[in-house]
Amino acid sequence: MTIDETLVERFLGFGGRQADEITRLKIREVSARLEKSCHPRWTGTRLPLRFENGFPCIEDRLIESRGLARNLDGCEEVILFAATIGPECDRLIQRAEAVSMSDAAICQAAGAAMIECFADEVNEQLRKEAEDNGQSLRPRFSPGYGDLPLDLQKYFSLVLDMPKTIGVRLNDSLLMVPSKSITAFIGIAPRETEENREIKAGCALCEAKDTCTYRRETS
Amino acid sequence: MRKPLMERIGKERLFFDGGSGTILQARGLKPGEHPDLWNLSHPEEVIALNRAYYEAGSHIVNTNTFGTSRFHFPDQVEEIVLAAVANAKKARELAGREEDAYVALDIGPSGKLLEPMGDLAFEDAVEAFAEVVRAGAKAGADLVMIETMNDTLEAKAAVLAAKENCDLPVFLTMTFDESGQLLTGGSCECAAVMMEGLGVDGFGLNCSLGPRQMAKIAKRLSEIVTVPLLVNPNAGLPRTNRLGQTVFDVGPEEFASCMREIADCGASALGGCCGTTPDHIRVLIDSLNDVPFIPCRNKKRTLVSGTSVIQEIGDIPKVIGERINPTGKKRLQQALREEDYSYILSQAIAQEEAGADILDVNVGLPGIDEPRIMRTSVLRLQGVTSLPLQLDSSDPEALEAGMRIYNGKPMINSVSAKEETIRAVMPLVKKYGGVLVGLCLDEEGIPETAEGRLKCAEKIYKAAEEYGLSKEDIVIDGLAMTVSSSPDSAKITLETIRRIHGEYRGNTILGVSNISFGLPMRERINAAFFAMALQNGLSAAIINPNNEMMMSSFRSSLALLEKDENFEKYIQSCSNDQPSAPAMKSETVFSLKEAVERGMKEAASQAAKKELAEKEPLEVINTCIVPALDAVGQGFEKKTIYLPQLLMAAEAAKAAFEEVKAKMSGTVRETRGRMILATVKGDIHDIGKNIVKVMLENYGYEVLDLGRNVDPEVIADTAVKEGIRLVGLSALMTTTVKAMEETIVLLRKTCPDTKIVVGGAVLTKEYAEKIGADRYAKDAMETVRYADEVFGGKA
Repeated sequence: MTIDETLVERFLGFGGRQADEITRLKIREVSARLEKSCHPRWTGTRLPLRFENGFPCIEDRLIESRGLARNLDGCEEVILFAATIGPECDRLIQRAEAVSMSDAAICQAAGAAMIECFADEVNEQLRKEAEDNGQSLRPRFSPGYGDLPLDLQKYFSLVLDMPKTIGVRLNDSLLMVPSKSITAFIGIAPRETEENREIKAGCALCEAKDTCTYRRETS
Repeated sequence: MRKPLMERIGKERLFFDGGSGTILQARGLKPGEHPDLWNLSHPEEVIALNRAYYEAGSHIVNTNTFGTSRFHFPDQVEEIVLAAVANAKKARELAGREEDAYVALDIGPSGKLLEPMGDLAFEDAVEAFAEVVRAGAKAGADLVMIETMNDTLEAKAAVLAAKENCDLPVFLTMTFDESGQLLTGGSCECAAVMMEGLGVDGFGLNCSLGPRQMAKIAKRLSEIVTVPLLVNPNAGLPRTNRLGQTVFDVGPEEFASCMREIADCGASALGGCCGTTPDHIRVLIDSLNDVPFIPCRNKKRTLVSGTSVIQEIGDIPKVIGERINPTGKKRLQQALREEDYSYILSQAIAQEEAGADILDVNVGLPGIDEPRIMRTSVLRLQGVTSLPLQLDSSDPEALEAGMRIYNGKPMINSVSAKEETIRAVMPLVKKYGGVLVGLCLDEEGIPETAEGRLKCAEKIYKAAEEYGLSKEDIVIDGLAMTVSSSPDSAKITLETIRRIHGEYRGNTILGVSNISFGLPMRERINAAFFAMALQNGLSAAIINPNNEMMMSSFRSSLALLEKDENFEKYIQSCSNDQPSAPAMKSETVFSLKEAVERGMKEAASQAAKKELAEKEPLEVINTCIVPALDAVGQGFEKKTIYLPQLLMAAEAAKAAFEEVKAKMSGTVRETRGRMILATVKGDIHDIGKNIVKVMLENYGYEVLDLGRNVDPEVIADTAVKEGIRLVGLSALMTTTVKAMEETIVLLRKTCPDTKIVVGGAVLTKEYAEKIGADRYAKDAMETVRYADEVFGGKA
């Protein structure tokens, strides 16, 4: 898999501008190293979805989040998705921190970009599969985003058996280890539902959209 | 009368049981219900499960205690374990297998994450497992079966708990992916080497894969493992059916036929994991009737391991980096006294990049808490290097502190033929595992003849045998002594090496550079002596891998001694030494200010030297470095310069400051103020805090960096003790902002005049005000500006 280097630049705070030559060279070098040494993995399961009082409900678990409700509105199923690029990136960041903080910052941004790109790649496969079934997928929606409680990490971990399947574990503060990991709901809707829907997703849905440095130009 | 298990395992083929989850579910266990509680509520069902396996022919059946620990059942551990062992015993009796079958106390992962990444302290993990072990031993289990482990450090905690709390045999199986890697990093070989060192009585793999995928990994393990190999696959790879349930597709016949291959590569005990049933085990046992059993044998290899690298001491000599040893190194002494671990880590990385295979770690200095510093150094070093470490100390307590937390099988430096050191060190090596360096000296001192040194070696070998260590785990140090004070000393050392290698088939090691003490141009003597020692069969050398002459002597010798296939390493090192393409080495000479602004470390250091030749150090700081930093800082604030450039400039400035420091012979420039930085309790992501630290230091602030995951009490106590006026706190997640708030509350109580600045991904100005901080800083420059305000008397 390849890391989108413009995404790395965005995570480093360059906004929409191109990074300087030296930074670009370093980004390329670090990205190549991560691509070579990280082993991304993912897992997911598809579960039926219903709504109670306007909130999504999965396996008797009611999730009181308006954001997620909006995201999953019209869906009949949902994928619980988790992915990681593994522990190597964290080790490389720690290692860089002992020698050069600029390298460490770049490694951290490249790792963040790598897990995004990997999740996008898997997402694309899932989208194609869904399409073959006459369905379409909603954008990923992660615990901790908007009003979706971070506490749901425990549910993901349990249902997907994340420690065993992809080696992702939680500490008491619900941080994932390895750090470059993602969990998300991905709604599955019948295609006809989608045709009349004005999809608001990603940055457009976020409360910090007007002030965020990492905001995508288009979303 | 039942034969002790240890008299059978490895000498005949034994069988484990299979899966339990799906069987208990079929008997009415609800999803989400804890199977362990069924030992108490539905003993008859658990007995039926265990009994079915005993009747199918399993010799070893696991108690239904996979999830039993204080983390799930704070007050019920003993009750559950006693019931579970009683159930298994009852099942064995009902099956009529009391004469030849065993009850295994089953222990699974704690489900918690160990420090430093997680919240569970290593010793707390040991204690949690110990609670289960004590109950199991009390109830009369025949062995401890630790299984499905995917973190080597957690597995170590469980093994130590078992070893320290009972005399039962301890088996361990771990979970690997299809490529034979642990999901937490590290190969199956690495895990095997480490766990054998810890003294497990059987090692192997279980869960996650089916027998077909496991065969390859079992084969790899069979080449390295000396203890009996244990293999318990799932009934194929898990698959989710249309109802969202996990199912396994490999039936008993297919399972058994795949397991033949695993039996052929020498597995001593076989069974199943998820999805396997008593039928799988029955058919497996039948089908292996005609397959001859391969007894375990000692592989006679000398192996040490780090988190993901194994080094074999033997035919191909190894380089052990000597730079992390404070003897004669002022800068390292200072780093150790200040507990400046980043300096120690940078030494490790530099040696690894220069080609070291193993890194020596000696942190002994008068007046420091060596055990604690050894422990922390090991933890920190293993976070950045995957190479094996050689723990080096004359203090057995410091050795044990390092060995206990070490993630792998270390080298231990050292023991001698003195009774006292043998008694102090060998039991530690037996308990924790390691390859031990044995110095050829005894109560009488260092023998002056090779004959005398061989006698010492012999005594060490003999003692090792008495303590239950294998000869492979001893490496003899022939002792390189200063040739300038006794001219025949090099010859004596070389003879010792040659004879240990030839007559004893033993491994040898030398601290090479001692030889040249007192002579000019020491590296010339060192390099020649090194080559001679290699020719005499030296297996490992403690040297400075950053020294080009030593490394070229090493690589050339290997090439000449037929120890470098196709001269691969030699040629590789030559191409690295070629001067690099001139493109980057531009002719342009930059002024110090330009070099810092452009973030060029080397150039900044050169330019600083030049400036210092003409100007006073303070003038260089005030007219070149500070203006450059200011320009970059302002650029960052105006968004014409971005984070990587800001940091590169900071690093270039740091390089320039080093030159200034050297010129001022240590007197540091006046600090503008002292402050604390910490990432709050529960939070392990501290890169942002570290960026802020670099910037603050460049602007002349002294930073007490308390690290990450820091207790509020530690921050408050330090602030009081050190009379701190400004504290900076970082937190990444909403969950950890709570800990930040607690820290602020405590600080307000203990030192009301101290200012608090906060930062981190989820924080905003409003949020910061809400939790009572004095200031929110959105990035490193804002923190610097706020520090200027506080210490400039404006805040």
